[in-house]
Amino acid sequence: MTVPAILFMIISVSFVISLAIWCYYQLLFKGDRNQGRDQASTKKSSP
Amino acid sequence: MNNKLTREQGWGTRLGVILAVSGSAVGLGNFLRFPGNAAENGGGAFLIPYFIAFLLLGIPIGWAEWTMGRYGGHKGFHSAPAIMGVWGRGPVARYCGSFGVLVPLVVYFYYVMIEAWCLSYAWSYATGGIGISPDQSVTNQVLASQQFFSETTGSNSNGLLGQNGLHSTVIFWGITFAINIFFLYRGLSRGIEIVCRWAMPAMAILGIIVLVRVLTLGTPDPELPDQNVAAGLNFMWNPDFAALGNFKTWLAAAGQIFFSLSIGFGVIINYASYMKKDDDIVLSSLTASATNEFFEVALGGMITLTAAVMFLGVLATQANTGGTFSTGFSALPVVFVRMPWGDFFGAIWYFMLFLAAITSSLSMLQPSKAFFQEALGLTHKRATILIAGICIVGNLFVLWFSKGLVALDTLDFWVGTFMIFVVAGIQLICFSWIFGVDKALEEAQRGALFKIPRIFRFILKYVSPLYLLVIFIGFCWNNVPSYVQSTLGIGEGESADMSAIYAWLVILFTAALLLAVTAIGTRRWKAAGMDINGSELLAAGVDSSDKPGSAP
Repeated sequence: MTVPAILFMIISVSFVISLAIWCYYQLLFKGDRNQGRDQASTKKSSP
Repeated sequence: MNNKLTREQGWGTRLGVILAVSGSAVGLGNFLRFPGNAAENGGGAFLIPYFIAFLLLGIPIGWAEWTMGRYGGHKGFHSAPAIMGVWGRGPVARYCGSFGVLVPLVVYFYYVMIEAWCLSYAWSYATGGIGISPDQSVTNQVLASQQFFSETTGSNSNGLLGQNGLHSTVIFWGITFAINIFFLYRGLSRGIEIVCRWAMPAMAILGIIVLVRVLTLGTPDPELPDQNVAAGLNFMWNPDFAALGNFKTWLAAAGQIFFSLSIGFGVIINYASYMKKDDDIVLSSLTASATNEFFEVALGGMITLTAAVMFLGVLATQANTGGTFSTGFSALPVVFVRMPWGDFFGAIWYFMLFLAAITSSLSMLQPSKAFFQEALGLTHKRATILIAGICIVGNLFVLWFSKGLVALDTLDFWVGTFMIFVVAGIQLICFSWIFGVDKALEEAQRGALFKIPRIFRFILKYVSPLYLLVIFIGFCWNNVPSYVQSTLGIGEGESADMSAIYAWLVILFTAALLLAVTAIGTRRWKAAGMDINGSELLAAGVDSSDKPGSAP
């Protein structure tokens, strides 16, 4: 296997895996935190 | 105002809708079409135009579709014609929007057959293989594999599947069809969402099992030391930079991104219409695209051709792979027959493809169901029955006119390929030019978990439409003349030509039906006082839609 082939494979696969991990991390942790904060502020402001 | 003519249950969770959109996008093309495309067009170098197209076409058009869908949803619409009428501010966009229902519906006519083939192959492997002898030469094994494929699909003559009793493919079609209709009837959160929540992780696990198996095979035949894992990966990934100077490479890369992400399919716009008005769509869209890319590059790019080269060698792989069907149903069975525990891994592989196909096929039915419900005022049950009836007729057409798979291929080319460009183009025009890219991006940002970079304003308004136009012209230039010739029967056999012409009639009849239903729907929506032309946007801007019941 040539060095350029290894490089292209590693960079491409790492890119898509990193993008997927970043998206799911943001969605599952940061997103839920934001949603929780929104719900809390809604409760606080409601009479 | 009655702005909920067709009240639907929404998505259960945000992850559910993302997995549903990802499930719609991940299909056979990820595992079979992508590696063949890459290997033919520069190997690793193919990934450069591929990721550029992802950035300039895939991500922005995805955001546009999600935004259009969510916005249409809180105007009370769930179908492409109604939503595009709002974004395009008038009847032209609305009637053009009916193509957003035509595409998934007609694609379903043949896609469910491919799904049935996958189930048939999985069953055959699970119950003892598909009858290829491991002692034969590669050439004879490929012939035996092609023979099994012809028998499964009935591609030797028309009407084969109706002869000599009940053909096994008809049984698998029946099972597949029943599963699809059952989950469609259960609705979004209890049907499609549940299937995708189970099928997507299952697909990833099965894919990783097959990947680990392939990457740990080493050199399967010590007498052929050149056929090993490294050679297989090299065949797929070794970059040929000269290919970057060829327009065909850029066309193939953009086409792959375009079809892989289900852009212009009419599905995302429908799925997003069930989201709440402040639900994030920016990160959700990106996550769905990233999921698709994981399956395509990290699994599809590592498994298929690597395995083929290890067992068939470079020359036989080049001769027997390339198209989706030739790779998936001719070359890979030969790989499995030569692989230790081949029947087991064959069953896993084809079951994984079946899961990939069913999450896609389910998404093709939902837009039509939503359209018939809101345009004709049908109940959930009656709309499902109507869709089932239409699809049975469409499926039986493809099942009967099976010779050379000409009917299937004709539907795939004109609707599953050509028409997708048209729908995506109309969506982009509505989003960026008629509605206005600034207001559209403002709408997209509502509830967003991260901000869309400013550069995408320019990309969505100028780069994506121009990029799409260039690809469309290139695609038509390369393909349309030959398809028109084959449809008209120039230099072709009479039987095959008639199948193509009948397929054309099916497309025209379905399009006419959908246009007629759009006309009926327009009258109903007008009578109900719904904002069918998006006129509130002109008067009061984006925020006017937030007020419920504000239509005249």
